[in-house]
Amino acid sequence: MAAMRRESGLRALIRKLRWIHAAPLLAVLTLTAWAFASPVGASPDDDFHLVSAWCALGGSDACGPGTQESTRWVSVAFDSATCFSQVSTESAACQDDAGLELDGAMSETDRGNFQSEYPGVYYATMHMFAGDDLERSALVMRLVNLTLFVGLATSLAVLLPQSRRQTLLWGWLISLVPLGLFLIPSNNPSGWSVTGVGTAFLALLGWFEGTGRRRWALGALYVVGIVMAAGARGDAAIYAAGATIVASVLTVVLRREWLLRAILPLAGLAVIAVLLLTSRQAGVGVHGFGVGVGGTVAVPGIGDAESAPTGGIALAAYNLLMLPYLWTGVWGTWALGWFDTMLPAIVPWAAGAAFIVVGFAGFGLLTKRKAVAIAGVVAVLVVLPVYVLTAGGNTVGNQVQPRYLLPLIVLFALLLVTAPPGSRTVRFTRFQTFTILGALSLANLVALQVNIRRYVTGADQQGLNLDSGVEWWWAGLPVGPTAVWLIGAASFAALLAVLGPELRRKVVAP
Amino acid sequence: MPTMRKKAGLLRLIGRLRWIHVAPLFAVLTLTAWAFASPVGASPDDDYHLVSTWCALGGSDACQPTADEQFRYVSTAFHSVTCYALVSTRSAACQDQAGLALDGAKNETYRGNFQHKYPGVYYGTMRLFAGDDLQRSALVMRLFNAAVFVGLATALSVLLNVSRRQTLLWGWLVSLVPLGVFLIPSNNPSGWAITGVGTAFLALLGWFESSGKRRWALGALYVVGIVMAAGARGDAAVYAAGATIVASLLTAGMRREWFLRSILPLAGLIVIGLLFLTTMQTDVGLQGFAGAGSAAVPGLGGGSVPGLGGGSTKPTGGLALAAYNLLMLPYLWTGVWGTWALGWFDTVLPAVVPWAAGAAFVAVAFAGIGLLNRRKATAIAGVLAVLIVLPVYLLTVGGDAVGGQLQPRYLLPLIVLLALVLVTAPPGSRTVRFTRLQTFAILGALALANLVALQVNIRRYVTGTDRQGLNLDSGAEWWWPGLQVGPMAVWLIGSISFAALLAALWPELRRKVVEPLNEASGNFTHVISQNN
Repeated sequence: MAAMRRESGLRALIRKLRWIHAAPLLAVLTLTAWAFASPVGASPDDDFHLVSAWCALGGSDACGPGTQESTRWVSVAFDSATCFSQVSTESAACQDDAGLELDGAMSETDRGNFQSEYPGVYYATMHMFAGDDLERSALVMRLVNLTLFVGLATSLAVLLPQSRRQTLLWGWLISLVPLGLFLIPSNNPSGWSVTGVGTAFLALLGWFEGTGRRRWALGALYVVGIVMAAGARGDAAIYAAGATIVASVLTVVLRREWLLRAILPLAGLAVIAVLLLTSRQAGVGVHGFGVGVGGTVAVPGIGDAESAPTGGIALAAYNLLMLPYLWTGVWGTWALGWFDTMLPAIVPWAAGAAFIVVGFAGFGLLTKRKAVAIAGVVAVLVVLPVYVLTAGGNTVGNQVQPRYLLPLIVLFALLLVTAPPGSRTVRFTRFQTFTILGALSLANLVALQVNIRRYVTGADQQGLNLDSGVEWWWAGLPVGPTAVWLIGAASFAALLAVLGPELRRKVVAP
Repeated sequence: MPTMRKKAGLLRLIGRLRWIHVAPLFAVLTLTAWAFASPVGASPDDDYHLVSTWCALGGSDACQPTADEQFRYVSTAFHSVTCYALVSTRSAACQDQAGLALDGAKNETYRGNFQHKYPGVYYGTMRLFAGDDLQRSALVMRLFNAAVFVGLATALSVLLNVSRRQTLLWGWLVSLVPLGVFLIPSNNPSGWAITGVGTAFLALLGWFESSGKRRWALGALYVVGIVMAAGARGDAAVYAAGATIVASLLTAGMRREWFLRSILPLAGLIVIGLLFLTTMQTDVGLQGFAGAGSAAVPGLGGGSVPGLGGGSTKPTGGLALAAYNLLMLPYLWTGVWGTWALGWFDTVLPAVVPWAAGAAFVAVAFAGIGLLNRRKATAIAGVLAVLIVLPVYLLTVGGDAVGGQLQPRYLLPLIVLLALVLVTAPPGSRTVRFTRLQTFAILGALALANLVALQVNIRRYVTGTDRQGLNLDSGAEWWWPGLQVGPMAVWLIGSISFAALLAALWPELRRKVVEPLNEASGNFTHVISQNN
């Protein structure tokens, strides 16, 4: 009897399953493919970030104290892992020659978060997964990070009302391809900045607009969001504060209820400030990026043309006019990885066009306070990079990387597609929706292929088949490069297909 | 008494004047500023085009025949004018050293339209303005070309119904900044290719949809359009045929009336065919572009595309090359909004230009995708297919990668056609329309792109790019001799009149209109309400 009842319960559960329920799984698959698409050490400054993870919470076997406060004795593997960086024709096979064993040679380094340049939460969390096997540990960290993202997005989607669920979906979709998809499942704290800022904004919006138990759950997610962002990077702390302010501005009503609820974001701002004060990245705002922030790399590419000016107002004007190049870096005008994975023009224009049309439709749904919020975010997006670059004597293309701005662009996207109360949400005809999702899926497909190609053979070999002539792949992984590409591309396309009905639903914001 | 009556008539005329009536003037001012923004010889292959002009219709003092059919004795000035080409730090002052007098030294050249590589109509027409003074003649040609564009666009606006007028305005606006506004008032036949293809499409659409005298006037404009396009470049002849087919497809109704009217496009196709056969550019389809005397594309293109997928990863043949070209294709398309440098590919535009102008196109075009019926979808698919297959095929056959040989200006007429088709409202549908702030954002982006592109363009010639700064007058090494108006003033006139043009067009673009259901009743378009 009991078994039968259980069986009919299972059947009832299965009957209740909708395609949308597969979305988290498909998202996990997409990001997992991206996690396996790059070798250890592939994201910018990963030697710094890996060392910082292993050295966090008092260090480990692979990280002992150095001769000075500002140095540590660390395994050379952390540096060797990045042997391919900035040489796009060099495959990741050079890692084998260099060796990735953590118990091998050690050397003293100052490249790591030894002086609290970055807040400690991200590295400390990652430290929990830092074992004796560099590759395995790094992969586990990547999987943890992507699970966090999908888990948070899924919880938010469940907790938020339909109109805000659309905000979440559109906002994330149009801002994450390809740089976000590369960073979220990576060993780079920028992944947490992205996840954290977007989560904090959506959750706080829900906190103000929701009721009952959902509201408290959303409040908890808001705290998770700000801790992730402000615990990962100093600039992300500022963005998290921005997300807090924007969500509050959007919902503000000067009544007792709102003021009571505003205690949470106020406490949030205090938490953010405390986390910011634990890091020294705050100095960046004053000095520009020129000085020792996590040892940034030189960026090859368009920016440094012969006509670039060298100082003052001319430099500011140049940076202002070149700014879209920095922004659009998140859609692929900048190369991925250590700026050595150049993406073909189809990626930035497909992904960028998706952002433009969705953002523009959101721009059509405006109230005064949304306009104020948009003006504020755009002002930061313009002034911050131009000021920081110009103060540091740099031109667009150097020092300030698109990934620093990505959380802000996520916030911008989310804000744009937030329907004002009583207004319909952003919605397109069937064919328009298909065009947008098709463009995103195409951008993902191409970017993932180019990214894997760059590491398995280097960019000097090309071709559709990623398996032929591979010089590098994950040791012991039964799934080959082409399979990872197809899984990642197909599951992202499937994810978009599953989300289609949700995105097309006619909804009016509460 | 008569003077009083005249005065009253004048007053009544002034009373009837609306801001929209100033639009043609603003358009002329904008394009005139662009005409003066570059020295003679500044558009790609202008040595070739100038020689072809002076040598057209039997030649002139500055162009004499030689024993060899393939050569001409031409003034060295035609070559000297391009002394700054491909060297972005060199101002146009080098022209003074080289000398631009047409009665000076001559030499033998094969760079000119001596073998009918191009159709003769453009060069034949320009020849009418080719006098003894190279600079003056070239400027007159530019002003003439600008006037022809504005004249045709204005005539079409007057003749077309309200809905199609919006098509015309949105279509031209989102496709012409900055490359179009550079080319239309230039000495380059690409200007005519653009003007011609767009005009032919709009006029033929009107021919099918309207009635009475308007219809015949539109039919005449269609003929002007195809003759301009097919008379300027061989590829533009193909595009003009495309515009003809697309307009016919959009309006096709299997009734006697439509068949009768389609005699015009059929005749048009024959005219296009004839003009095409007078050229040898036909070969291009088979051999790639390598032959047609085009400039090597430096910097963003040829050797290494900095940043974008260039350098070491470029494949060299076959399927891999085709795949590479396919994936890099948006770089070629977006060249028309400024990802490619202007002029001889030596006027690199800052990123704000392509992203502002490109975003305007994307936003407007996407709204157009929202207004779809089956035949419009077919038309869009057709134009897109050509936009993809043509460049990928030509490049790959010629062994070139995106960035080499095939330039965005070759595709610009097709992009104009795509823009126009996208913003064509199907019968019974509302037209493309945006909220006030959205409209402001689009027009603001276009005005910004024009402002920046015009400044950068003038800067490149007055001092070269090695000097920068807002003030174009200070330290100018080159400017038009005898011109009262300085570089700074030309920049301000050009950017302000473009902004004013957009402001004047505002009410027209924001008008709520429904395209009439009955295809042959353009006169009955009902304006639902003015504004808002």
